[in-house]
This record gives sequence, structure tokens and C-alpha cells, in this order.
Amino acid sequence: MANSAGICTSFKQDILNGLHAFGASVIRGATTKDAFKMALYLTTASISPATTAYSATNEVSSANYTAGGVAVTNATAPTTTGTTAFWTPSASVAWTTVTFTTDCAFLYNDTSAGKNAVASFTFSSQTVTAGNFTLTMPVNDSSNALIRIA
Amino acid sequence: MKEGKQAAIITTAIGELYEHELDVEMVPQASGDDVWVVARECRYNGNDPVKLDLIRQFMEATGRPNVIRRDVWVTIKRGQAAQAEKGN
Repeated sequence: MANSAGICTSFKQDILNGLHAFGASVIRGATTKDAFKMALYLTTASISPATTAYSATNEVSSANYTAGGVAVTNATAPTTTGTTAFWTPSASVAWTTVTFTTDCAFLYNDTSAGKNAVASFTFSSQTVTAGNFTLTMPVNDSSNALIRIA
Repeated sequence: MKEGKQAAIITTAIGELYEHELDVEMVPQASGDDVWVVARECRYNGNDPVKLDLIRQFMEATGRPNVIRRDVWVTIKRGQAAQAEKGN
């Protein structure tokens, strides 16, 4: 058995669980998991991996759509397979009887004071008219999960 | 959409209509390796002048085509990954 260099797989999972803080961190009030939300944005927005936090600017608006988006169901803890840590919401994210046009969904930490960003997801521009908009989640594995640290 | 024992009622931009008053079409959208998108478009197929006038007003107000209900499903086939710079 030889030595080898690399980021520890357990560390990748620990990142998803918030167990390390190389820089200044926050005082956590509890050991419970954070709440995450998914928000939708207009095609004129500039959401990207460079986005650092949730903002209501250029978020879609509609009856039955609340600014900030909807809570993401999180019943499955982060896990690892091979050298990849991953996590996926445990249910689809949906809005009912809404009217808007969007091409971007944005996942963020609703518990953090700064509403810190997690990831953005884009798709072809879609208009919903008095209908339902559903984001279906990928298979929760090391190749497809919504959030992966490989 | 509300399901009933009798005729199903569908909520649309011009109000609630019976399902048989609508032409419903599943329309695949531009998709890619990481995402799959499908839309369901509903168009009025009747000749009630009141409803036709409502549709005309809706189209004029929104600039949208004769689709009075549109549902969208976005399936994320593969999420986003952060890559460790030096893999193990």
C-alpha cells in the first residue's frame, strides 16, 4: 500500500455538512441542517456561478409565486460514492398556477443571514401560463446528483 | 388541474374550462445533456363567443399565442459539480 495525495473524500462530505471553516465562519445556533430554497429568475437576469447570494432583482413575479422561491425538501443527507460527495433534494420543486417566463433556477441557503448562494441551473426559456412549473431532481448518485464535489 | 368524478375542470388564463373544451399537446422543448424540458400547451377548441373574446383580449394584453394554459416540467438530468483541483 503506497501513500497518495489528494483531497479526502470524507472532507468533501464534511464540506456539504458544514464541518470545516478555514476562514471566519458564523456562530451556528443549532446542529440542525440548514433550510435551502430554490428561486426562479427572468431571462434578463444575470445569475451565474459568480452570484454570491440570493437577490430579488430580476426574480420572476406572479400570483402564487412568493419572492424568495420555495423551500427545498431535504430528507436525504449528503453521502459519498467513490471519491465524490453529493446531495440532491428529496422531492421535486414546484409552483402551482403561475404565469411567468424563466430560464434559470437558483439554489441558496435560506438559513444563512446572507442567503448564501449554492448553485444556479439554466434551461431553455420557458413561459408558464396559468399553469404549473416543476423542477424534477436528478438521480442522487455520484454522476448525476444536484450538488457534487468530485 | 382538478380531477373530478365527472368532467375535469382545467384552470386557464381565461378561467376554468372543461377538459373537453381544450386541445392539449405535449411539446418537447430544447434540451441538452444536463436538462430535459417538456411543456403541455392547452388551446381552446370551442366557439363560445364570450370565451373567444376573452382569449383575444388575453392575446392582445400579453402578446402570447393562443395558449391559455402552459405547464412546464424541467428535469435536471445532471446537477452541478465542484471539481477538486487534484483528484484522489
